[in-house]
Amino acid sequence: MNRDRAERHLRLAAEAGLRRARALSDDGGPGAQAVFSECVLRLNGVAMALTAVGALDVDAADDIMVQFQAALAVRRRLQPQTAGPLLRRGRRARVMAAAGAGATAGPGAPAEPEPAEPEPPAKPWRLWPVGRMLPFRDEFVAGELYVLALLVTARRAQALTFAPLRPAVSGGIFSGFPEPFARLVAADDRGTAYQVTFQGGGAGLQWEGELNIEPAPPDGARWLELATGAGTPRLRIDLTGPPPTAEVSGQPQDSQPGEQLLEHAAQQLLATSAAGRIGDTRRQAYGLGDVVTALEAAGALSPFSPVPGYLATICERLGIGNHGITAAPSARLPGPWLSVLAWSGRRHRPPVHDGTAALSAVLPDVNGARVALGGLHTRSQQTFLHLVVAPPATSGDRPDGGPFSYRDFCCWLRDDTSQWHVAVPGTWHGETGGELAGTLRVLPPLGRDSTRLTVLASTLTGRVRAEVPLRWWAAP
Amino acid sequence: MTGVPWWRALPAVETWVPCGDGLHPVRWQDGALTLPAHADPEGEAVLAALGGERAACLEVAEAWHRHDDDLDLLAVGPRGPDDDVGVSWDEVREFRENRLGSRFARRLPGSGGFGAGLFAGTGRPGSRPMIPAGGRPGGGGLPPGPPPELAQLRAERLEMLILLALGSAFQQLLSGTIAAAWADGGLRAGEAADHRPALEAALTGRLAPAAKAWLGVDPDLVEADLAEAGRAGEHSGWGELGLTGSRAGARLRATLPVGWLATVWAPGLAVVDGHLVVAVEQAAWPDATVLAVPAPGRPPVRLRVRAVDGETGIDVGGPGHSAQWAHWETTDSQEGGQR
Repeated sequence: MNRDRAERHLRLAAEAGLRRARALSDDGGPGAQAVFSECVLRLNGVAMALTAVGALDVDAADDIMVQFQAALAVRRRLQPQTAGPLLRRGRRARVMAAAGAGATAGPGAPAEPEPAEPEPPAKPWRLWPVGRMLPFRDEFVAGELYVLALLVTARRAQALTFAPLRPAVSGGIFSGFPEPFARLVAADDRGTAYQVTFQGGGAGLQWEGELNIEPAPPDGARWLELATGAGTPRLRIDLTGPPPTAEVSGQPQDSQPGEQLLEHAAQQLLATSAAGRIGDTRRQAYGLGDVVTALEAAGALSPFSPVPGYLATICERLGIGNHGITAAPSARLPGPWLSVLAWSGRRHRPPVHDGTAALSAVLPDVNGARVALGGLHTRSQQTFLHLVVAPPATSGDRPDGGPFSYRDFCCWLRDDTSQWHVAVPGTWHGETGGELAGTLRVLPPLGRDSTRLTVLASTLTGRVRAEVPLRWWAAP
Repeated sequence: MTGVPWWRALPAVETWVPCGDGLHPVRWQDGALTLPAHADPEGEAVLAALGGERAACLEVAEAWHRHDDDLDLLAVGPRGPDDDVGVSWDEVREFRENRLGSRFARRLPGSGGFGAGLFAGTGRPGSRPMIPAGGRPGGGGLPPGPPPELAQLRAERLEMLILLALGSAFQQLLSGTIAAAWADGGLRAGEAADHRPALEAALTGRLAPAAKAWLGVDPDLVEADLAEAGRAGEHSGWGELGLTGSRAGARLRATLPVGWLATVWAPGLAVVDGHLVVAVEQAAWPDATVLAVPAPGRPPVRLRVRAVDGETGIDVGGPGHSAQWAHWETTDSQEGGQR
């Protein structure tokens, strides 16, 4: 890859965007939105692509975007964002250095960060499939807390959960935080009590997240019991058996960086179209031609790569015409792409049955991130794969969501009927620099008739494969 | 650049800026910015540093000198005669007072800035932040007032607006001044290679509309490479121009020195009588002798040109306005080639 060529391409794309903006209407008119989508979003897509493949520094791209927005603003084509991108830490550090600020600590100087607590030595993760349910109720809300898996790391244990809720009184209304979650307690066979906090959230009557159990249960603990308070039902998790091991393997990535990024883009298109959100699909396809051109210009994608043609095929099959990809649609598509695309095109999509499956697999590092797959649930024709991620240690100046935030992250699942599924980041939460828990949304949804999954996850640097059995145990 | 100072094809220009209770002139002539209403600007600057009130004129001059090699400002500035970069002094005041409603102070609605596009986490289908559980909001309160780095960035933005509010003639001059700093003989010439993408984009962005006026070429199909220092035209002495066909249309590829922006583009000389001007041999405004290419692939000819009916000049435009780009016409040509 060539950084100068990447930067030059982005700057020339900004020049072209400025010319387009000048040809559109004045600020404040109906064309303002067109300037935003025609110029800012398109250039932003190019900047994101070039930074995602490592062809351009985030700060350099950020500077160019800021200049571009300022150029639009002084021509009355846009109201510039004055704070957001300017506050990126890389730029802030440069400004501070240029201003000579921060050299001495004073009343006006920014506070020094607290020294970080030393990281405990890396310890293998232990992951047990749980597959148990804890009912709860108070005067406002009732429900079931489904515990899919328990992951024990060096510092804590994390129980991956989801919970359908309902008002405690028939015909009642419930909204807000379910208070039983705030009363959760845990204890082990030695009588040791643990602090439990629910981390996650939900919309309406379905919540999902993790129970953070601190500290981590010691190696010798035989079981861990969860409850929502004294006198309430208890859920016991057996820790005596060895955590099951999954069949996993990893290998270095052999695709070009640009191809990996375009596969990610294809997954986004397939996911939104499979979810019936064709408006989102069109929005995502818009400007893809710019991205392909930029990746080629930066040397991140061979001009002979077939992948732009694959993308053009998807767009053509989905009836999307404004993608801007100049490559001719290809007659052939990779198997997973074709499988999901074919499902999207079905007039009749057989319904899948609700269910909850336990699975446990700790994957080899994904781009330096540790990933544990903890379960799957299907409800209302939507399937979510629950997982925990420990992002790699980064430079520390940007939040890292691990695979949840990698713009090159791709995940495919194949069930035992050979139907492929795309898995795209859904929701996630956690601490910056710490472990994250969340879900990947699986499309098309998986039903209780699937007994085994092949998981293929990849990033710019590596590919991971896991074969995991599915143990469906409830139908909430 | 040739031995001719880059600004010799430019006239003296004056504009008026709000200063104190009135309007004061700011003048540019022979490459230098002056403040005729302030007899001792250095002394005033010292007084201001000691706590006295800083005159707005001084602020203009300081901003000018701080940004006279600023490639960020070159990226924002005008691309050609029909590129209206309009910032008013009222808008500068609004920005300074951080008024809500200023078009330079508001956030872009719906924009996450860089990071909110197709490949952004926040733009993903179905991605949504979780509701914090149990009312445990993350992060503490903000300290009062803007953090120092934000204040510094706002100050930079204010200076940019002040300089653009001087009007189109001064915007041209500043662009030329910046380009001259990075051209052969300029103070930043030694660093030009490290800023090649920004300089090439600056060249392309200004050559593209000129090429459209010259040949009718689609500006999106124009690209300019930077002629390396000391090699500006190993072949020709000024650079190279090539026109090729492509599926999208005729594509113009140019190799020019960054000094072209200062000596040719800034005085508005880019296209004269159907020729693309590639170098200025001699100049004393309103007259100049230039090398100009009649068509790609043909050698340049020497043209004697004169600025006519341009409104450029002192006392033109009135308070708050500066002059327009000059219009040049050929007074004599030496077809037959001059390299």
